[in-house]
Amino acid sequence: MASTVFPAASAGKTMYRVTLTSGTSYTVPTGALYLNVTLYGGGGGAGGCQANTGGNGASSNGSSGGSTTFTGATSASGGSGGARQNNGAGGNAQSTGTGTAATANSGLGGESAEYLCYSGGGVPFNFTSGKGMDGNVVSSTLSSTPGGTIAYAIGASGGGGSGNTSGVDGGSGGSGKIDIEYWA
Amino acid sequence: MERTFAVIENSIVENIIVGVEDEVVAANPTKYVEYFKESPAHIGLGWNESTGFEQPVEE
Repeated sequence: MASTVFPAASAGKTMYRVTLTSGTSYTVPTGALYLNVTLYGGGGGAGGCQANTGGNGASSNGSSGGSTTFTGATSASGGSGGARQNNGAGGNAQSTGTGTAATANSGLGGESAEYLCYSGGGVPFNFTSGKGMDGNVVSSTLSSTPGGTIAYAIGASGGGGSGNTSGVDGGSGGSGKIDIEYWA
Repeated sequence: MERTFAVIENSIVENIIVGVEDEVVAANPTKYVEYFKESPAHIGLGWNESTGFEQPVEE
């Protein structure tokens, strides 16, 4: 349940912060009557990069990150997946860079995949897929019952899109997290 | 390492989350399905376009 009055700090109370990165149930600490929670949705994965189709399977878009939820708080949706790069330029790959995965529990989007090749005429082509979008960040204040339990879910990372045959995969997003601040 | 689960409601993947307690999965076997990101097709169910989950594009 949401609080309509911002709680004033009480004399003699100490502020605490904790980050939830996994699990499904939070036990409210002794003396905590209000919780300030910030939810980070899972980051989206970057698209895959396929720049030499010639019969190879197409690359795919990155997947969206999962939503992070905490009963009583506003949910944070995951970031959208990045667009694929699927170009039929052909030629031989000179360098490829698999997108780097975002750090776990950061809610950040995955890094784009990159593909550099030269066409038959020696013209260089540099292809980059779409980066995964960062997860949404939402803060809420809710009243809480000390000793009670609150259900929550950490949004998963969005998977990076596949580069498919001879292609390059996009980086996966970072899973979400929940920051909790309370006075006790 | 936390296992990843798809949250399924009305035959649609509504969310993908990190970590669910074993007893919760056991009590709701059709709602929580372990998800393997390497092969999204393992789920074999519909994707909820309104929440932004997309299927791999096939040509």
